[in-house]
Amino acid sequence: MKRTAWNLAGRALAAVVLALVALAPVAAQAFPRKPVTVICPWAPGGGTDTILRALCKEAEKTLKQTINVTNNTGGGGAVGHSAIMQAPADGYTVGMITFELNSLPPQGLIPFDYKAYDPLMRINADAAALTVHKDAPWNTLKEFIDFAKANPGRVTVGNSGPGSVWHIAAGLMAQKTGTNLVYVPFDGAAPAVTALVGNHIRAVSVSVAEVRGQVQAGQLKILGVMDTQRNALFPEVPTFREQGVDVVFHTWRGLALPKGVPPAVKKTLSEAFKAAFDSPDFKAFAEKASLALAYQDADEFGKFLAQNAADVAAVMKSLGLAK
Amino acid sequence: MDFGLFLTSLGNVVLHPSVLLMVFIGVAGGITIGALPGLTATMGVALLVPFTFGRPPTESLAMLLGIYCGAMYGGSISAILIRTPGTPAAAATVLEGYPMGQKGQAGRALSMALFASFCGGTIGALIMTFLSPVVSRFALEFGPVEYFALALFGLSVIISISGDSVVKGVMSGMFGLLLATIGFDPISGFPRYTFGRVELLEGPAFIPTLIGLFAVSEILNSIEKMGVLKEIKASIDRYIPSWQDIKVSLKNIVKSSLIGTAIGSIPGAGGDIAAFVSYGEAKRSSKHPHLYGTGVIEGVAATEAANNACSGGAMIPLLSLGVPGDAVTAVLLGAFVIQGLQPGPLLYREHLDVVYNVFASMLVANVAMLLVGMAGIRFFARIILVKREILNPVIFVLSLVGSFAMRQNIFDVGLTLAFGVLGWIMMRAKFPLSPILLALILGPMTEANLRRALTISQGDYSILVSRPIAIALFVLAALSLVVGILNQRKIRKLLAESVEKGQEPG
Amino acid sequence: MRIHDIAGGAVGAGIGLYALIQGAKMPPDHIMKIGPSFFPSLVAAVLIGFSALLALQGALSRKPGGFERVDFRSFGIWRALLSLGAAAAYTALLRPVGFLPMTVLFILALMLLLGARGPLGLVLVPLAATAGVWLVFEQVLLITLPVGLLGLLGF
Repeated sequence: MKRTAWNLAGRALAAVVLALVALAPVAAQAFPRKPVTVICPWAPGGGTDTILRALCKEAEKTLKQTINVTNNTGGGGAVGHSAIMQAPADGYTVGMITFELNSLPPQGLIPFDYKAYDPLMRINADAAALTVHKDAPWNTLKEFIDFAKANPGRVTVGNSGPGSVWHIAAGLMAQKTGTNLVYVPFDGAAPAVTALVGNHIRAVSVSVAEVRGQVQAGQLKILGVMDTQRNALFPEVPTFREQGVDVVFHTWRGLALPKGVPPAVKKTLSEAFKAAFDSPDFKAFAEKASLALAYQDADEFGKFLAQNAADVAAVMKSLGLAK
Repeated sequence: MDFGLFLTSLGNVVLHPSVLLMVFIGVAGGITIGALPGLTATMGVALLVPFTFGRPPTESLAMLLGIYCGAMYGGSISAILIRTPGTPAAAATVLEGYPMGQKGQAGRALSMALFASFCGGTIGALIMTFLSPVVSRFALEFGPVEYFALALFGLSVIISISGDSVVKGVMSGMFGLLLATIGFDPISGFPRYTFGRVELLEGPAFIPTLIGLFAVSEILNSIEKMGVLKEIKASIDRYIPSWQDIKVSLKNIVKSSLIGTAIGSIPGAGGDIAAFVSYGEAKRSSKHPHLYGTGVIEGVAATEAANNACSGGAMIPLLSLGVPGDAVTAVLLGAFVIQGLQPGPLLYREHLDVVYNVFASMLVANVAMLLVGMAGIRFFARIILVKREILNPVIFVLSLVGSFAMRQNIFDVGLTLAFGVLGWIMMRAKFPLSPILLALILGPMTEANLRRALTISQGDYSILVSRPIAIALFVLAALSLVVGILNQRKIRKLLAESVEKGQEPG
Repeated sequence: MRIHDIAGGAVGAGIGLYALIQGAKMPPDHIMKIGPSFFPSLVAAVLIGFSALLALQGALSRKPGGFERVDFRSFGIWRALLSLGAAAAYTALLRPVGFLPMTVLFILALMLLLGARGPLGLVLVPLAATAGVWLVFEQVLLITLPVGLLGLLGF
């Protein structure tokens, strides 16, 4: 009696082991077998979150699995970025990385940098622009710079927060033109734009998308964009380079994995997200949100990250923002 | 007003079952989200925006506005029943609403909150539609100096919500202001008082702090006193406000709606501030200020009218300037743009139909809120009668999960517990908790704008007295402080009299 | 004399002092005259002032009261402290064990502690409440709650 029970148990065990061995390769091929989580370091409903959710909705179709977006916010992006880095490297956790990954390390706020990730793809890159009130006496970048040079420490330029991407953009412009500007940090880009409309500051250095509504309504005017080419929405606005100031500056967003994800899994993911990126629905969404899509594959994105990190660190150091 | 156009817009909402259905779904969802601690209107709207991408503008706007209006009222439900403001805007409703619930008048408080919310919401929507261009010009006048003055004015309300001891109230308020300085310095970006924790870089998250101070402390208190305190009996409760209650509260409802719309129209100042300011004003003008804090129906009416009027107010800068008035309207702005509508000055000139559509949706959303709310009150009011040994564990879980949900961070849950213990101790030592909350809301606004103003003036303090609106607000703040302190004396005298007459206060 | 008011004043002053000392270590602002420590130091000074006032009031007052005594012999206070401990354990184990099992256990434990005895309620309430919260947060609002051990089973 006893022996039969043991025998049965042994056989059952053997069967389970066999089944597992047989299933193992199938399981590896069948990534993803369960829902994939994407970590967003910014709050639900914000720009980054909206783009990510729109992209994931499309990627689900190719991946044939649910994609859950988790918002791990806090610490100016530090919390979410470290959550991505520490996630298990099985491909079931993907992360959205943003510009702040390159501006937090120089400030000594996070003990890691872009090298702690395995980049997947860049999604968009939005250029900074210099925008002033419609009644401002300047119509070109040169007039603005001349005025700033004649009145050092009197021209106030609003940005979206201390050490934020647009603060650095204004700093870079001042550095390249030899002007002395007053940087006024606000709690995000929208309040800075509002303050400009109300004539409480003289200019803002945020992206075109963030001033678009007010410019179209005739409240504000853009003096130049810090891009290599003109903005599709406002083709009449010249770039900084065209006006003799060699400044190109973008914020960017992309996808990355924690280090150590198997190459096959990485390939599946990058194909799925590329397909989502190319889908007409996502393209239509990006256009409505006036988002400058700028795809780069994993290799290019990696090189871009290194270059951008070096640039940002240098500017922050000269602005006194770095530790 | 183009009456024909308005009727068409109203028809666009009321005559289309699919739009009407979206309003009701939005309102019901909004009330639920608002009532659950930790879930705010911003989150509700933000999470539902993606679902509206493929729908026609009238439907999706109707639904989003329904959520917005519903969530504003929903916050009062948990404030009244379990002392947890479901949304920050309902924080002031706790002051009078919770004592009413404890007296067995939850239904009376809930129905008044609903009625006042409806009135406030409607008045706000009316002002939004017809006075926007005027009000928005006023809103644009608000620069750093004006915000600083407004924040000081708001902080002066601390005196009114201090309870027995102004000294303890001010101490709570200063403690709250210190808490508000934890994290990145708003101007230089230097991290302050973070104890080396990344989670504190943006300060103690507001919602977990709120839930800890109010809900968890009360759960611990209630668990301790189970069996000692008698169970609540709703013997003389009602589910529709009585004529008497409406008559008593009407003046406050109208006044608070105007305050709410005005504060709501200023970008960055929202329902939480408006509700506290209205509460201070209601107490100041009351004939029986000594009863405030023991469950006064006008107090509930004032705070709820104010925060719902704010939603109309916050739409003003959004529609007429393209500038969001608060966090919810910031998300709505995104939704508008996705729908191909660009809010801004042109909207009132060229697309009045869109404005009227928003107005019609808000009106209908408010009516829907009234209907859904009335149907729900009977059910909600009974929650408070559930046996403590069931109610307390469930609220405890809701509080902890609610504080997790905001940032999906276990640290925040621990923070909630820590603030729960702090609140419990402070309650025993008779330190008022609401000043902490008010200071947390206004602290960043006070500091950032003072420093921003000084950045613009390059350190010259005279900028603070260079602008008329700011000076007016400084005067108001000073008056409110003086009157508040004088009022405190009157309250003490009235209390002494009522004790002499042998009456229980409240 | 009211000892607790003096104690309250001492705690307030202590917090204020801590803020002042930490503030002194913050860097000055290059551009403006006031830096990161300006505002917290101002608030801390006011806090210390009012703390002193409270302590003075406490020292001069002849009326007792104003503090609810903690009676460690009553069961109530232990019940509250045990609930707090349970909540702390819940918080610590939420991530590793997972939302679903921990929540059922937590509600069940609290109900038992608070004196719920009906077997039907003890089974139904934890399950129903957990399912309700999970449905609203995870399914309707798409907020990911910790999966924990259930994740090992491939959920």
